[in-house]
Amino acid sequence: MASQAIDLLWIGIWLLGCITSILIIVAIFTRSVKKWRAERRESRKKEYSTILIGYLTGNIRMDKIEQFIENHPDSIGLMFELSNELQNNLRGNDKQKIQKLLSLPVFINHYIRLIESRSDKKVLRGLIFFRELEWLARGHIQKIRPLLNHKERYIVHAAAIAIMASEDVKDRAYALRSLCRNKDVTRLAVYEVLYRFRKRDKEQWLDEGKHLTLLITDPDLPISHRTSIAIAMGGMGYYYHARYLLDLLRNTPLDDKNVPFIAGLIESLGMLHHPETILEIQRLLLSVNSVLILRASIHALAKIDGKEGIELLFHFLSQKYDLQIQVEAAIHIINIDILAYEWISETFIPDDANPEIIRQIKAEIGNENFLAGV
Amino acid sequence: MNAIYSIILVDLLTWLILGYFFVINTVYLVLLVVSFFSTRKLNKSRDAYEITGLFDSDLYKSVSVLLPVYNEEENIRSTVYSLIQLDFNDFEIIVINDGSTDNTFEILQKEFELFPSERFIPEIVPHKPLKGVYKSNLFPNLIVLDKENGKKADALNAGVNASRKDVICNVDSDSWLEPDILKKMLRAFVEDETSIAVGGIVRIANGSVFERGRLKQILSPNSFLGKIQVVEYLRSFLFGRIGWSSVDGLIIISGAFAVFDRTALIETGGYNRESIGEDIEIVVNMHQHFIEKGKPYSMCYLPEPVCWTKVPESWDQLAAQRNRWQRGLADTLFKHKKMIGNPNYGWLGMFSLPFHLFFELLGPILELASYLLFFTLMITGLLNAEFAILFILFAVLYGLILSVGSILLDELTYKPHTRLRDVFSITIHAVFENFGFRQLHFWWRLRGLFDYLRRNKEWNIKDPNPTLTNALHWGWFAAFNLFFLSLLYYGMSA
Repeated sequence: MASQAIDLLWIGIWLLGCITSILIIVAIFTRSVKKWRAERRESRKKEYSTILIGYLTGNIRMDKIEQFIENHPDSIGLMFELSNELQNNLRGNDKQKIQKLLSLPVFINHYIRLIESRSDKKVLRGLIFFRELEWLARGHIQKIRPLLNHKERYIVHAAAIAIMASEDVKDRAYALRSLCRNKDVTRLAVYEVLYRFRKRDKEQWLDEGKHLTLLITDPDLPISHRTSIAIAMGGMGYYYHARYLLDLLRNTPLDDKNVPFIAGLIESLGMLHHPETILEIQRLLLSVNSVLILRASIHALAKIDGKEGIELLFHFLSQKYDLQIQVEAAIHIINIDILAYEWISETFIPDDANPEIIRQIKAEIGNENFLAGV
Repeated sequence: MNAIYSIILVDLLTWLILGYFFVINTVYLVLLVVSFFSTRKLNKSRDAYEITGLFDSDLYKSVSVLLPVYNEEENIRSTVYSLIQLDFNDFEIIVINDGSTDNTFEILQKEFELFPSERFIPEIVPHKPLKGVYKSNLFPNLIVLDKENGKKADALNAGVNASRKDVICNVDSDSWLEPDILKKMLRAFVEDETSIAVGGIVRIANGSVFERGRLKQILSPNSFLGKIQVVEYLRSFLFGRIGWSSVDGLIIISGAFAVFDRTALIETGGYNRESIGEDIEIVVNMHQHFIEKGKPYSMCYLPEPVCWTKVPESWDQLAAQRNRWQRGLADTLFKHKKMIGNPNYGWLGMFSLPFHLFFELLGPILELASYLLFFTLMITGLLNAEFAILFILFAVLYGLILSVGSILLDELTYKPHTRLRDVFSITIHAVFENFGFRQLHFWWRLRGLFDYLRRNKEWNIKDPNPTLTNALHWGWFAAFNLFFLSLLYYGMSA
């Protein structure tokens, strides 16, 4: 048996020895290659920067750069990176010149080839190009659109972001819907796409909001994403649609599976400062004891401000609520706008409030401020 | 007859020891592979995100950074400045002076122009009384709590009570954070609403160049102990924690840098003031609480965020630190013993906790027993020298694969070592680690276990004579290597 163990050990040692040697060689080789690449990149960066500065100062013509890229296809990535950096930092004519350069077919064709390739890595690189250059992406939405059905969720995510460049709200809503249909997509990805969904042009907001409200009630979308959209509508200030969200809050049945959605609607309405939310919160408080809804209500009331909102905020100092809820309400009372002090009144304090919490609130905001409204 | 029994016994013990080494290293190897794929997957999807604007919106989370300090007059300025420089929109820094007996508080008061504040601090989780609450005239988001000494967990609890943001991030006073670390860490909380705790990679600051709390150049430490700890940290974070987190078996998030959902932290009762290792205890406690309440939750380790921390570079300090870690592990496993082997706690109860019990906590006993057995058997002639040497070589090589694998994994992460000679030097130290250091490490852990059984709850057990301890450790190190070389020579000639 011992000799068997020795034989096994010998085999193991040879095997492990080989693996260790390979790993050491790979580790050192990888580091050397990375170092070599970094140095090469630095020297190329200097070379390409000189070319781009020459182009900006008028010493190098655009066709020369195009020719250079055609002769050095491996320069495209770095050339794009540097040009993109420049176009983000420059203004006026120089910015336009760089944008003209980035619109060269040599760039666009290369990145379109990438998004049409079979390699996920290349597809992502192509999408990043269009994500960075919104003005260019607008002309190529049709090429990007099929990627919304890609098997990898991060590709779908990157494609949806690139499509957010489109001026057509239908394109953007379609991309958002495609993204949200995938339940594995994270809330952060949904938020990020939503953040780019809204255009600067206020004329579009009404139309955008309409599409978002359709998504909120779309039964094909997971409720978690519908909640994220509802919250984001508040976060991004779709004020025209506050009434719609309020009606949705009124009409959503109060059952367990809807609790996060209801809490999301309350948060959203709070961010939209809609005063009628206060009445809805009052209504819900009669039957709700979900911590999620209570916390959302506190956040909303603090944001809505107004005398009624602050009065209701004080209601959460009652000891019938969990200590965490009382503390959360106290923190929001302390953080209310200084102008709102005039609304505060001793009568707001519930009879069963924790005296120590009340003492500390008064101490922090100042007794004279606390009594300003008396 | 006795001879036959002896042979059977020796064979059995041989296979038992072989089995122990095989299981522990195979689990580590599997974790290495799991964390390789997990890191690769994360790296792939990372580029799809471009969340510049979202950070400043109401849709992102806010953070309270807690910094408990005790007699940190040397580091306090640079640590606080490194926190003030964090690139994040909505955060507050709460420094908790845990009854320092040096000038820590006076330095804070002078440097940051502190003035007394009436800040609302509710008593949600327990801690020792506060002596004062202060705000800074220079930085409105800096709050300082001055309190009676109650150790780290107690100080953190005071910080939890004073915090007002969504997420709590605790940092050690000898650590520096990468400026964009909060943006990256909070991503996990926005991505997954069930996220309650997130850890990030902690790297060794010794040797690297910092300027005003910001990292300028990554270099490896100059000392032998520092370099060996680089290998240990790479192993521990890059495959240990990321690997365990990928299989839902994470039981520790480093105390040097950890992020928790504030509500979840309070719901579990905050930090346990009686525990020796508050970082391991809080994580296991959260697991137990959320599983028992049937609430969905997740904890994860991200391979990219980086916190730089100083590690001890003398034998006595390192021994004291490892002793404390071992007592912390023992304490937590003992407190949560009902979870071990309990299917109600899923993979954590059935695999991760038993593994930590048998291989991390009791491992030193088994390993020491195996050294003693080897030695006894060799002296009595029951074990042949060839087997002994081959086995040691086998164990060293197996361990080396894990170390080199971590160094390789380091290349996939956010900021690997930049100099080739550092990579080379770390690899060499990964080999040397096995000869003398590893055995000492087991000895410290074994002592930690016994100190725990003797109910020693000191934070760091004071060494009465550090000079002697350091000399003895170096002596042991030399003696071990001499012994090993003579064993090798004897084995070869035999």
